[in-house]
Amino acid sequence: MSEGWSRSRAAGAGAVASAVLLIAGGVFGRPDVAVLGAAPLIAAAWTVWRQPSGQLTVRVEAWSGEEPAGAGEDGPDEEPSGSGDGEAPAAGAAVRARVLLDAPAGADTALLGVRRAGRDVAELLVRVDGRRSLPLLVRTVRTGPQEVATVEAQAIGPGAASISEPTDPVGRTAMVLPGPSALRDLPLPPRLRGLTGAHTSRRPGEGGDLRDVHQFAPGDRLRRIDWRVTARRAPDLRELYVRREHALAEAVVLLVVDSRDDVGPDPRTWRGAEGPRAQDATSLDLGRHAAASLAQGYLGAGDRVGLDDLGARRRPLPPGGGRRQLDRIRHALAVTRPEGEPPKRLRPPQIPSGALVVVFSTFLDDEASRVARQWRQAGHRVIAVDVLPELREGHLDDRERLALRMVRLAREDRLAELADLDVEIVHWRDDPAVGLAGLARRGQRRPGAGVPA
Amino acid sequence: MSALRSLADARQRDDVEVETGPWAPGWAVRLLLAVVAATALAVAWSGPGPQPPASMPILLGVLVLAVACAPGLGLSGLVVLVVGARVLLGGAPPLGSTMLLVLLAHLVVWLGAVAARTRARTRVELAVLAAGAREGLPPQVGAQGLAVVAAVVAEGGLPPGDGWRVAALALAAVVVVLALPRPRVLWWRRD
Repeated sequence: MSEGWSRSRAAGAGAVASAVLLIAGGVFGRPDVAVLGAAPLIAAAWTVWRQPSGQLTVRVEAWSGEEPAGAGEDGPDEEPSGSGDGEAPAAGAAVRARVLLDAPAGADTALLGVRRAGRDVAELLVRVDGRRSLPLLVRTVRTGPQEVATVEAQAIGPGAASISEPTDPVGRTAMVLPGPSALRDLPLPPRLRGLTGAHTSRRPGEGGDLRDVHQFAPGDRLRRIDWRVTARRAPDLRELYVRREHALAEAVVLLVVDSRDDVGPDPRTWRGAEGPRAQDATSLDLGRHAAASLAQGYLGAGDRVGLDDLGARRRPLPPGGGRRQLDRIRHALAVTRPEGEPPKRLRPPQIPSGALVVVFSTFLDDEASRVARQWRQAGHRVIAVDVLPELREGHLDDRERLALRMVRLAREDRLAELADLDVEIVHWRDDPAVGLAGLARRGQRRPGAGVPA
Repeated sequence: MSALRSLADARQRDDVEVETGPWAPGWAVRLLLAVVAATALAVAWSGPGPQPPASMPILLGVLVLAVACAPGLGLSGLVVLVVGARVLLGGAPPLGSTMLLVLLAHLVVWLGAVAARTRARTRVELAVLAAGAREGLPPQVGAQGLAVVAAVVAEGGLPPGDGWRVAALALAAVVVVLALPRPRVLWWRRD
C-alpha cells in the first residue's frame, strides 16, 4: 500500500465476497457461482495494480472569472497561495476564487469539502484527471476582511477502491469593500465653504443663482452688464445695471462610524459567545454600507468628505474630494472593526468648522449619543444614522424578550433625547433615501412664511 | 429603499457555489445502489430452487435498505454473497440470468464503493460515474465471456480431475492477497 493511502472498506468487502464466491464455486464445482465474483475480483486486482501514489494538493486562489474555468488544467504551476488577502470586491457582489486540485498519478477522483464561516456549504465528488480547476463563487452581505472558503480534499483511487489521507484545510480570505447605493437628495451643512463647488452659497460671487440686479459699480465686470434691464430702466444709458449672482461653495461632511458594536439581527448573538450567521448583515455592515453610500453621494456632488471612527484612536481620514477619496473611504470602512475594549474619549473628535456630522451607530450605549450631543451643542448640524438591523425575536424566551425590551427602551430614550436636541435621525433599515431627502428639503427651508425661526 | 434592497437581495442569495460539471445528488447514487441490489436479489430468487420463506423478503428488504443507508459498512459484499449463496443452493440459472447477475454483482460492488465516499447531499459529478463505468467495462466483458464459458462447461459436464479446482483456488488466493485491505501497521508490529 502506498504511503498515505488505504483500501476502502466497501471495496474490500466486495472483493472478499467475490473471492468467497470464486472459492465456493471451485469447491462445489459450480462455475456459474464462481463467475459471479469474477468481474469485481478482476476489477479489484486491476485497482491494486494501478494503486495511486503521492498526495493530492489543493489550493484556493483568487480568480477574476475572465479566464475559462479549465484554464488551470494546463497552465503553468503556481506557488501555493495559502491564506492571503485577495481582491476587494463590493458587498452584494460575488467574490470569485477557484479551487485548484493536483491529483497524483492514478487518482482520478477527489472528494471536496467546502466550509465557510464554520458551516459546511458543499461536498463534492469530482473527477480530477491530473489537474482540475473549480470556480468558486461566494455571494456575501458581509463586508470587511472575511473568509472566502476553506477547502479540504481527499483523493480517491480507481473504482473508489482506495482513498488517500485528507489534505490539510486550505483557506483564503478576501477584503470585501462596502458597496455604495445611490441616494437622492442629501442634507447639507448650514454653512458652505470655499469658492467652488456644486452648491449655491449665500455669499455674492459668481456661478450661482441670480442674487439681484444692481447698478454698475467699480469692480463689476463689463460682461456682467444686463443690457435688457439697462435698456428698460435707463434708456438713455446714464446708468448701467449688472446681474449679481451667488457664489458657489462646497460642503464639508464628516462621517463618524461607531465601530465599537458589531451586532447581528439575532439578539442571542450579542453576548459574543457565537457570531452572527454569515448570511446576516450586522450593524457594522449596515454602517459601512450607509457611510459608503453617503460618501459616494456627497463626493459625486463635489463636496469634501472625511471619515472618523469612534471606536479607534487613530488619525481620521481628513476631508477630501474626488473619486480617490471615495476609494480611500471604502477601504478605511472595510478595515474598521471592533478592536478590543473601546477607548474612553474625554472629548469628541475634532471636526472642521461648519461641517455636517453624520454619526453611524446602533446607539446601544451612551457614547455615540454623547458625542453627537456635544457636536450639536457646538453648533454643527448632526445627523444620527441608526444602523441597528431589523431584529429577529421570535425565538427568544421570556427573559430574553424582557432584556431586549429594556435595551430597546434605553435606546429609544437616547434617540428621543437626541431628537430633542435637534439631532436629525435616520433609520437605515427603513428607507434611508426618503429620510435623507426629507432632511435635505428641511435644510433648504428658511425661517419666514410658515416656517418658524 | 433601493439602498437596502440590494443588501436584502444579496442576503437571499448568500451562498457558496462551486461550478462543476453535471452532477447527481448523493442520495440518487444510493437509490441507484438500492435498486441494483434489489434487482440482483430478485433475479437470483427468480431462478430455479426452493421458494423462500415469507420472512426472507423482509430480511432482504432490510439488507437493501441498510446497503443504501450505510454503504460505508461494506454491506454490498453481503448482497453479492447472498446472491451467490442463492445461486449455489438453487441450481444453475439460465445463461441470461447468469450474465445479468454477473453484471449486477459488479455494479453492486462498484456503486457501494462510490456511495461509501458520499453523503446524501454530496454532489457526485456524472463524469465520475461515467469514468468508473468505462473502467469497469473491460473486466465486465471478460466476466461475461467467462459466464458463457461457465454455462457451456456446466452443460457439458466437468472435465475429469481436480486440477482446474486447484487452479481456481490458487487464483482466488492470489486475488484475495492482492485485493483485500491491509492495515498500515501490521498487528505484530503494533506497540
